[in-house]
This record gives sequence, structure tokens and C-alpha cells, in this order.
Amino acid sequence: MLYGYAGKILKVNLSTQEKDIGDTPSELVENYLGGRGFVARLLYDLLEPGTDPLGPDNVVVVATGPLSGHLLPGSGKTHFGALSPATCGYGDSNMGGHFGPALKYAGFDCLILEGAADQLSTLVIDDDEIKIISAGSLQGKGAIDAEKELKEQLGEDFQVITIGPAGENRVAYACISHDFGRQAGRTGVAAVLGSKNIKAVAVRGTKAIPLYDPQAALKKGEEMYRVCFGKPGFKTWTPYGTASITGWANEVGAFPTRNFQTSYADFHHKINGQAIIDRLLVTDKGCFGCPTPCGKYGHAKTRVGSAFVEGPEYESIATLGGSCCLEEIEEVAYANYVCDQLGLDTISAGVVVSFAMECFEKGVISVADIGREISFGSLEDVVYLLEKIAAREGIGAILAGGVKPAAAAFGGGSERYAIHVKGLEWSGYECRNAPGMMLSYMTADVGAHHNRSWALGYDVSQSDADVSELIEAGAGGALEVSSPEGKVDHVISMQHSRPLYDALGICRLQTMEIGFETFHYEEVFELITGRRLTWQEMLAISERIWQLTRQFNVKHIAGFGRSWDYPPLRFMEEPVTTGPNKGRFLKKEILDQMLDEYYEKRGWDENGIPGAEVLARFGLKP
Amino acid sequence: MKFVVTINISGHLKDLYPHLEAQQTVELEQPVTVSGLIAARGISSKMVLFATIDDRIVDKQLLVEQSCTINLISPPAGG
Repeated sequence: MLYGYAGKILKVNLSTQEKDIGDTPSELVENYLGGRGFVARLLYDLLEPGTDPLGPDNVVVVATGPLSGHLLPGSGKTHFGALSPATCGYGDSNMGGHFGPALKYAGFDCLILEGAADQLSTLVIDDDEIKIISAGSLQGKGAIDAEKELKEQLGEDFQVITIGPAGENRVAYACISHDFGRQAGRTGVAAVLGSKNIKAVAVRGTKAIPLYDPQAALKKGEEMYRVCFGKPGFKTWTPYGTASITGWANEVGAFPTRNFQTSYADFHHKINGQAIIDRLLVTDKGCFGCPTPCGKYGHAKTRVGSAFVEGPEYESIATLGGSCCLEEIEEVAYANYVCDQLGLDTISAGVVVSFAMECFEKGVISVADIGREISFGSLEDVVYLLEKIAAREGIGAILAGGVKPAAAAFGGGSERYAIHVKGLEWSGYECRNAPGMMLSYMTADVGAHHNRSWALGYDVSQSDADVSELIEAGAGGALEVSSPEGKVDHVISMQHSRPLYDALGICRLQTMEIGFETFHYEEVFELITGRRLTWQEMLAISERIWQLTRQFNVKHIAGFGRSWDYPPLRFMEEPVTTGPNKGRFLKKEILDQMLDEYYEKRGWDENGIPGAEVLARFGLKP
Repeated sequence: MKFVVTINISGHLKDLYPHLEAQQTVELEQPVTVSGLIAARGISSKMVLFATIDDRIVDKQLLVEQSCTINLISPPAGG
């Protein structure tokens, strides 16, 4: 008996409509836990080198974790993965909401989608009844509208994921949408769903999950809620959510502004967490099992349009607000809503749009290319470009691939300020005075994503200078750039700890943000699964997953190695133009120094390729 | 006059300052500000997003009072 898991994996071949239900392999459970671990291992085994990310041979894996769907804090997480159309390497994305628990209650730890349907379709999983129905009426519909229509059609008790027009049109950074505002945003898994002609997946599950010690697990879960409610951070975290970091990111000079030309926006106080409360908020919104609802459901009225929208989260504020220079919270929220309906990742979309704005500002692209003038700060221009991208119309067809291919198409030196790593656009932290965070972005398996390691706090805490001193120092450079010393160990540690939550199927925010102790997870994991693992032993599994995803990229990306780990030239050669870190940048020599140390500690060669010894240690093959 | 305050640290502060207990009771020789207390514990003030007393966010220049409990909250790491 596999306690804590549903025990089955559902594989659907969309080309033949065949469904296969198999046992969840014990080897997979033992060595990869679930969620991100399942996604990484299954993708590694199922995909051959040379697979087209948008061809029928790619697969989409949806996985829950051993703690998903149980009565404990933050157990609503679901992990999605595929060969990424953004990077052509390992791609995954994590999402809150209620979908994962529903999939597990339907009896499945994991869903694997192969092949491609011959028409736009919805996969419906109603416990054991699995069918593929036409999604013809949903074609071209916004992701949120499509979810609403499907729930009306199938029933409110179905949990639904959808893609928007961007996914249907295979935009490289299309996102999966769920629960009217939760997204699996990164790495373009929704584009892969679009390539498989899957508009939506609807799940209703009513089964029980076997537990090793049900009464003790329930009691422990209740205790965990009580502990969360009593944490000092609980009452400040919940009202503001992730947006509370906006002011801080500016004060330490980490807020991407004007396509990362600078790291400080003098309008930040108009787009922060307090602005959301004052000008947008209707109600807080949480995921399955969440005691700390960080979602902010609000109403945004702008001259372009008005909408009810969940968000914006900090990342959307940073990329749509900071990088595109939308100076009012209503504008940021409305651009967020447009992305949500079109099914675009707000992080990549914001960076792509701001990249286009800078290209136009510098004369790299013209009115003839774009169809109109565009400028930083214009909501009309942001919406115009987002709609072009989702439809792949005009310049949108080029921008739909992301900043890396767009820079290759535009030329004119624009690759210097195409802000990405490995083809994935940078999320919301400017790093020219934050070497640890820079290394985090450089070495993340999916590309420039903060989710794997958030070392910015370490960088900031290691700097002796106060913010006021940094501002006074200005461009004179009287203060040294934050030292890279000691950063590598911290980054490696975080690259094991943060993704571990994605393997367990739980939200990391209760621990990372309000101080929930990890021993609670050790205890509840044992009561649920019957398996005793210390946190350190779980971290070792997370390290195995990390080695596997690196090896995945070696296997799938031609010529993969060190050159794929560098940030854009802007960060290595151009000083920050304003704010606390004015004048600073990280020279390539510093980055190479960190990479050398990082590779050595990882057991990789000087080109960043995992060595036979480290692969063998984790039971992996070259 | 000596007086006693309790300091709770949470979130990233626990990772960044592993030598500090999550809850500490400290004895002070004289009145200090919240900011002074943070510095005295060796914590970077830039890593304290909020300081709260009795669940209310307080200015870091506030003088701490006898027997109060101060919660130091680190910035969250994005969404």
C-alpha cells in the first residue's frame, strides 16, 4: 500500500484517445517524492533528444506531491512540466489553487499527455470516467472566460485548467490558468498544451487517499494550522501578500525599471501593496488548504478598460509596472488582467513588452515594424503589444518567441538588453549589486526564475552599507559592489530547499515568509506516508532532482554548457543608471569566479556538465 | 534602568542569521529604538521589512518599552 499517494498515473494519448492507468512506481516515490520530482524524472525518461517542443512527441506532465490534497497548510500545489518551447530545455511551473487536490481525489498522482488531438479539445476526468470532448465553442476565448464557461457546463465542483489565445497560438511564454487568477506561468507549458489541441482539463475527484495514520495526521494538520495562525509574520503577510516587497525592492535597488536599465522606480509607492489595499482590493483569496491567503482579488478601472482581477503579485508589479513603467496600480492590474485572459505569463510578457519599447526608443525597430509608436509608461501600448503577441499578428509574431529570438530577429545590438537566461525572461529582481541573486538566475534549470533560489536577501544582509549611504555614494562608486564571497554555498542550499516544496506538493510561503518550522513537515510526512525522512534526507532528494534537470538540459539542448549560464551583456557591462545602485554592474570576471566555484561544488566540469561521479552518486546515467 | 524585551525573528531572517534563536529575550541597559535593537542583534536593518509590536507595524525609530514583544519580519521573496 502506497500511503499518502493516490497510487495511479493516468496517461492519455491524445492522438489515439487511448487511456492507460498504471501504478505509481515505488522507485519514483522513493527517489523523487512527487510534484517537481515526478515531472523531472518522467520527462527525462519519456523524451528523446531532438524532440520538437511544439510537436506531438513532446509530453506534458502534471503531478501532485505526497502532501498535496491533505488537510495541512498550503497543500494545494500542482506541478506542470514539458520540454519548454521558451528554452528548448527543461521546463516546469508550479501553481496554487485546487486542481492538484482534485486530480488526486480522482485517483491520480500524475497525468501524462502524449500526442495531439485532431481538434481543439477538453480532457474531462470525472473519477474513473475519462473522456475527450470538443472545445470548439471555447476557441479563441480568454482563459478566465473559458474556465467560467466550462464550470457552468460541467458543474462548479469540477476544477479546471485552461489556456488562452496565446496558448492556442503557441506563444513561447503562454501560461496555464486556473481558479480565475492562479497560473502556472513559466516556461510555456501552455503552448505545449496548445500544440496538443488541449484548451482545458477539467477534473472532479471524490475518492479518499489512504493515509498511514489518519487520526494522527488529522491532529497534526490541525496543530500546523494553529502554529501558522500564531506566527508573528501571519498578520503582516496576509494583508499585503507578495506586493509588500515593492518598496523594499526599490530601497535596495533591485526593482527592474525601464527594461532593467535601472533598478529604482521613483513611482514605486503608487504600485505597492498599500496601493492595492487602498485602490483595488475587494477581498483576499487563498488556495486549497491555505491559512495565509496572499491572493488579492480587486477591481481595476482605467481609461483603457476595467476588470475584476486577482493580483497583481509582486512579479507582475515588477515587470508590468517597473519594467514597462506603468505608474498607477490600476494600470498594472489591468495589464495583469489582459495577460490573464490572453493566457500570457505576466513575467515574460512584461519583459518582452519592455524590451520592444526599448528597441523602439533606440531605433532598432520602427513604426513600420510595430504599426504605431510605443513608449514606456503607456498602458495603451502595453495592451496593444500583448494582444498582437497573443494573436501572433505583425510584430507580435516575432515577440511571441520571447526576447532571445526577438533580439536575433531585430539585430542592432538588442541582444545586450534582451533580459533572459537560457531563453526564459528574467523575473522581478535586478541584480547588478546582488551577486548571489545573479548566480541564482544564471544557474536555475529553467532559466531566469527566482523560484529556485532567492539569494537577494543574503546579498542585502551581507552588505555593510545602509541604503542611505548607497544613495549618497551614487555613481561615484565609493562603495564596492557586494562581494561574491560565500554566495555560492548559499545559492546551492536554496536551490535544494525552495524546489523541495514543489516536490512535496506544498506552498513554501508558510515557511519562507512567516517562519513555519520544517520539522512539522517531517512529522506530517511520516504520519501520511508511513515513511520517515528527515528534512536533510528530503533535501538530498531535491539535490538529485537538481542534478537530473541539469542533465536533462545537457541531453536536449545542442551545445549546452557554460555559455548558457550567462546573463545579458547589460548586466556585465552597463552600470545601473539611477537609484541606490547607480553606477554598479557585475563584471564577467566576477561571474566566472562564481561559476567556477559553483560548478566545482556541484561536481560539474568547467563547462558546467555533470561528471560521471556525481551522476552515479545520485543513481543517474550520463 | 534595566528592562527586558522579547524579540521574534521569522522568515528569511532565520536562514540569514542561523545563530539567532527564533525567539530571544534580551535584557537592555537603557532605552533603545527598534532600529538600535535590530543593530544590536547583528541583523541588517535592510532585511527587516516590518517590525511589529502587538500586531501593529511600528516605526523603527520607536523607543522600545519594558516587557514588550517585538516581531521582526523579513521581506517576502516574490510571487
